[in-house]
Amino acid sequence: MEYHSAFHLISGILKKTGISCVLIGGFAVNYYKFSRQSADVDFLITEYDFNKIKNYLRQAGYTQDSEKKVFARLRNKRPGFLDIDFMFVDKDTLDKIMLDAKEVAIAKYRFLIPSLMNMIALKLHSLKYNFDIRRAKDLIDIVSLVKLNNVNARAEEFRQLCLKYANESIYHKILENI
Amino acid sequence: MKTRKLKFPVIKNTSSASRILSMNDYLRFVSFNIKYTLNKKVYRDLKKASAVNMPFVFK
Repeated sequence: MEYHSAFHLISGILKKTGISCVLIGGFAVNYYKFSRQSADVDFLITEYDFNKIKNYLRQAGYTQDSEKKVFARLRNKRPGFLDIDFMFVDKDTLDKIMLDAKEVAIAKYRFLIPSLMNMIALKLHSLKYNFDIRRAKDLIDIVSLVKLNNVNARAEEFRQLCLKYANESIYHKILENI
Repeated sequence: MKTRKLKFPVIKNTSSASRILSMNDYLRFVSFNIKYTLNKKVYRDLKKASAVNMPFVFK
């Protein structure tokens, strides 16, 4: 089958293989009302499932830019085929994120994105492990998601989420920016 | 020296709410940026530097 975009390709591969993955990154952030620049597509997937689909990606012209323990980054020279990052999570994590995921359509293809709170949890995790570099993006994302979706950042529930996936210092940084 | 009192116009109510893009409009926005404004090398280098090497685990 001839695919004409990254979303068309991923949607086709998921249908063909029955594999599940969850769209994160700029597209998921946009669903929650914050439209910021992005230049790629990010998915959560298990490493086991990624290994099952990577040949399809190669056949569509994707080459692996890098693969680490926790992610694989692919690029494609064809127009319309955005770079794709696959972030690896364990099956239990993916299943739990999928439980309250939302379905969205992009160029008529359907994808799952995490709930708002799980999106924030993912961003908190990234901030925790690479704060200096990621603050410019993830801190702004979290603050924007909180503001635009009327999340009460002073509620104990939100503080607990911050402590679970990041730390007290990051929680206060968020409050300072709201 | 005589000073002149300048009268600049005061523009009020300029901060409009940011525009929310539909998913398809966002795809167009991203595609436009990639085609016309983005330095892919800089972007990829930044992605590399900002990688997180600790897996996310649902708690």
